[in-house]
Amino acid sequence: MASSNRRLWFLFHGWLSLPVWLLFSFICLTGTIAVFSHELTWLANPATRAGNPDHLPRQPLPALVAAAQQAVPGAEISRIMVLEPYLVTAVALSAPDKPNAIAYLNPYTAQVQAVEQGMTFIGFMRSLHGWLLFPWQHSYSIGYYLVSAMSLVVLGAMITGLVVYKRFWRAFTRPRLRLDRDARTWLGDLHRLGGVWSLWFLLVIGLTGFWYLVQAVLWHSGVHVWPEAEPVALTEVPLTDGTPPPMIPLQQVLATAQAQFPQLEPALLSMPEHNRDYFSVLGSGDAILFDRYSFRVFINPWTGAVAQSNTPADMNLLQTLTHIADPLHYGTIGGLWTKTIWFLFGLVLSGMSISGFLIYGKRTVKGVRAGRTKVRKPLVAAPDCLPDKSPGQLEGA
Amino acid sequence: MATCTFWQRWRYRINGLLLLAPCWFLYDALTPTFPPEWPEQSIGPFSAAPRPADENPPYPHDGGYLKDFSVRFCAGCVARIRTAHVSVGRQPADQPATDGLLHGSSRSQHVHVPYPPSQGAGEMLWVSVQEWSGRMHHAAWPLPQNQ
Repeated sequence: MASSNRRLWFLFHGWLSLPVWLLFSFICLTGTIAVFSHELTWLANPATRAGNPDHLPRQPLPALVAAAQQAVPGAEISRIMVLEPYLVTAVALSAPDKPNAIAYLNPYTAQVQAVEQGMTFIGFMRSLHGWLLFPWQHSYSIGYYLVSAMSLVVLGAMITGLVVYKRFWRAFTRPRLRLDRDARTWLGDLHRLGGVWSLWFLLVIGLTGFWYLVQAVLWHSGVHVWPEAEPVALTEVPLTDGTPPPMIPLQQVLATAQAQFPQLEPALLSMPEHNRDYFSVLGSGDAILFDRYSFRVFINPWTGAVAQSNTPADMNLLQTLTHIADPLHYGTIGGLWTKTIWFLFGLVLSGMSISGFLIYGKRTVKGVRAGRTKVRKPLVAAPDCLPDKSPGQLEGA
Repeated sequence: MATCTFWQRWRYRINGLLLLAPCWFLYDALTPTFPPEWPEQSIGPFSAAPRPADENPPYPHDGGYLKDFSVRFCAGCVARIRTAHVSVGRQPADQPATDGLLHGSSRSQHVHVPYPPSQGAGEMLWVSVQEWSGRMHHAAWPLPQNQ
């Protein structure tokens, strides 16, 4: 490739990343921390640990619900979330003095270990990384757009970086890190080495991030990835003499879901939010790549009939993308091992944004001090502040 | 040659100012404010008081308009209700297909109320409640302008 052409690509590389590098680093770092938000919660809060010294089997979910109801007087359960085997099962509830609480239940002993209210660390990290805490305007959040648009920076910097880095594959066969040289040299080596070795990660995060951008547009334009289920027919809701009739018991809900999909491992069980709503059981099954909510069963609370059910096999393209993006983006795809890999490469990605800016800064300072002696030739148009606009030497390129 | 101006020195650091936004929004989320509750009214054997989620006009949704409310019912009343829905008009609406159904816990019910595209004269906010025996009851609140 002509060298002037490569200079232009190099300029693109900078223009894409430099104007947003601080924001980008922040998003990378919060995402990196969010990978381990469950494990950090485990470390920080003993009440979230699912100790099981006696190697008991898991208690059935109805037993956990009963325990939560007994521990919190007047509790109305809304959702049950099954987490990693070393974490408690979270039971979301509302009680007279606790309108929005989560009970942490040991899934092996059915002990209520804590009842907490307010924002959790997991939820906080998710909102901070996902939309920078920008409020949601019903169907969109400016923050969610901002963050997901960073996928264009990831993919753009990756492509332009590859173009300007001559014979980049040599970073695999003959990695070079000249730590004995000046900062600009070793920072450049580190930047290129990190970039090439995390190519796969840039692709995974860039593509899933781009999907989140598409998803944001879909939400904003009112496209339903999952069609909203029609409420239970009014005729199926019992009429009585005035006393409230009972809904089907939780045991029956779970047995029905299990009968529908024998391979189902429930991850999220939601109670009906009103008398024409359904019990929903979302879980994982035998489909690889799909998230923990990709097997779905909706059950009529009065008749016990399955109103709707879905598996990965009958999902359309948008539904499939919705259910495979998260494990790839979060690194939960293979448990703790992949989380560790995602965490480390998350650090590399954050580091590349910072090192990129430092290299730019060093080049500017050096350029000014050296009175442009290193600049080979002026680039586009008349530069008003030369060191910024001319890349100088394309070190290593 | 010109030396670097203030703009050129700082232009790539300005984006850091955006990080003040999450700090502000965190403060905002921790100190929420809500519009005042509307006066409590009796609806048959029950009583309820709606509270709009915000003071903005209805927002577009699925080709129509919605506005979110929470409704506080008398203690122990939600369990005695078969279905309840909220509508806007001169008369109470029939049971809606999706939007407009009250949902949530017995302490705090929520609803996404379908609104007509433009506000007509004499339109009210109707809360319609059906007991388990099938008896229907309605109550209406006047709508504030442009909300």
